[in-house]
Amino acid sequence: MKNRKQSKATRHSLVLIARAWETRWVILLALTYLGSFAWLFTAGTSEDIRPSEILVTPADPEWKGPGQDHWFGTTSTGLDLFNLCRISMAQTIALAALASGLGLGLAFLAVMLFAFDPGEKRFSLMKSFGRIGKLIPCALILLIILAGSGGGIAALVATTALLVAWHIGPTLAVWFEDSENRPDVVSAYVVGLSRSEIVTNRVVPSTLRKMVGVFACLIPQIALLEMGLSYLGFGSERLSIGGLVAYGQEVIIEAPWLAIYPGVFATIVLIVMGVLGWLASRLLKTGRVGRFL
Amino acid sequence: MIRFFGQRLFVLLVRLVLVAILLVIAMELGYGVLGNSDFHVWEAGFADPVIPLLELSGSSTWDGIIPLMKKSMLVAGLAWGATVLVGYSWGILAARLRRFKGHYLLLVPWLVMASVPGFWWVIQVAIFSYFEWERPGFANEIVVESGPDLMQWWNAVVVALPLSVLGVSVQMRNVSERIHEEAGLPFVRGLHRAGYSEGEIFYKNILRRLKGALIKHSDDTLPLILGGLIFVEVAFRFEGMGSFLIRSLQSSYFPGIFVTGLWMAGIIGLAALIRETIVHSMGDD
Repeated sequence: MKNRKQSKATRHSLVLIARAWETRWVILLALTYLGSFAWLFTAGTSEDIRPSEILVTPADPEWKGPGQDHWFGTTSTGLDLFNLCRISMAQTIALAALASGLGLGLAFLAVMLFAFDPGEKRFSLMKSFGRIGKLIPCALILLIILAGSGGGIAALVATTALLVAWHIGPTLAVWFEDSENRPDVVSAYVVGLSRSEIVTNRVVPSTLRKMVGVFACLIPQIALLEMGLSYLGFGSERLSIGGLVAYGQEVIIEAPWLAIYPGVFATIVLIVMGVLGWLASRLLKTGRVGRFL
Repeated sequence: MIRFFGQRLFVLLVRLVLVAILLVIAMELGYGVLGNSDFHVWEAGFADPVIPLLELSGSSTWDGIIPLMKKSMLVAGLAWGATVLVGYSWGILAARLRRFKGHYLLLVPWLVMASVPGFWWVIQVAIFSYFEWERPGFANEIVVESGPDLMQWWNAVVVALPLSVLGVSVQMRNVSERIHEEAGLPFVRGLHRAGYSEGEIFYKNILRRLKGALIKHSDDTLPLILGGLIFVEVAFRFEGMGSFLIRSLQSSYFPGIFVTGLWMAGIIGLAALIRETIVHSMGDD
């Protein structure tokens, strides 16, 4: 008679396939997200693309309007604008992802400092501090720091991460509090599990899952902010859509495509990122997180 | 009521003091520590001529800031008004149609428009205005010499439009999702079973219960609008508080940065105070 008991490997593979099927939409979203990242990051050029080198108008500019060879036209130095838009957007998205990830990490660490305290008012200090933050636009703090420091990448990422942590921290605290009222968590207390076991094994995993949704939503917001800062001239020596648009505004009569197409490109990328972020947050049931940037 | 108002006013003042401290720390950190500037925040004086104001309002004294405040208040007021009107009505509509799968399509246009960089949008309007209507493209190119200055309203509306689109997208989602949360509560199922119509449940129960909670969202978008104001004012060369802030930042003029920051915090705080008082008077804290 044939042995019908499945081997350990088969059982594990079947469980894996079942889990993958359950989370198929999340996987599909993640793949689309990564695909759009990969498309942006594969752009490259061997030319010097520092803004001080390319966003200048020489006596004899080489610019060409949009056509079959150059969809978005070229800059005054003859560089393909479409390729430049891709490179600058890749940089912006990378910075946004870094700042968003660091900020969420900081917020999580701050919440974990209070999470093991059993007191009911353990998060009140964090919430009060968060309420002060609502009185002032985040863009203002970022502008002050970047204008003073020269707009370097480190200052941008660090300040944005701090602002993200400051604003998301209270929301994470509320998630922690809500999770502790869930029936399974209350049952765990009744059964006699320790607080540290409950927080680590039940509350933290559900909060981490929601944070992925917040991360996806934050990327387009921070990217939009970074472009705005570069537009105002606080972007240091890095290529950004904001810088391209600002230069396009200076040569609006001679080369209007420089002021038009980078914005079109940025809008399309931000729409894709925004919709993907929104879908991710819906799938992961993140709930309402205020747009603060 | 007066006691509540006084208490909230006191809390607001304490918060404004904390914001002032925060601004001073941010300026010192940005310019002094990271920027290695020898000039410190505490060395700045309010009595010196206000150079960033000179180009914007023609006055180097603090009196020159009043017209800038008025202009920016007009833009912020238009943007916030449109945000509240459209955001609430659209959000309630999206929640009312929640039984239909396609109701999310109502949210999509605003989500798409909120992805447009505001500074870029303003430039497009300026280009269009210049080439198609042969009108001055940017807000600082004044042409009205006599009669009512309708151009200032047009300029304010153009600047306010991207801000209100951004605000509406946020407000609408907040309102719609808050109603969704309420509509998922067990009492709604109970009313359905008791034979109430969908309209009665939505308007006479869900919305009535949520009055206070929805009013609490009325000023959610103000920081976003005032933050966005900085970018779009500069893009449109609109002479307001945003442009003043940028000029102050560029010339390291600390009193200008400080005053603009406090002005923004004051508006946001005042709106919160009014909202809290209204909600309290409704007995819906």
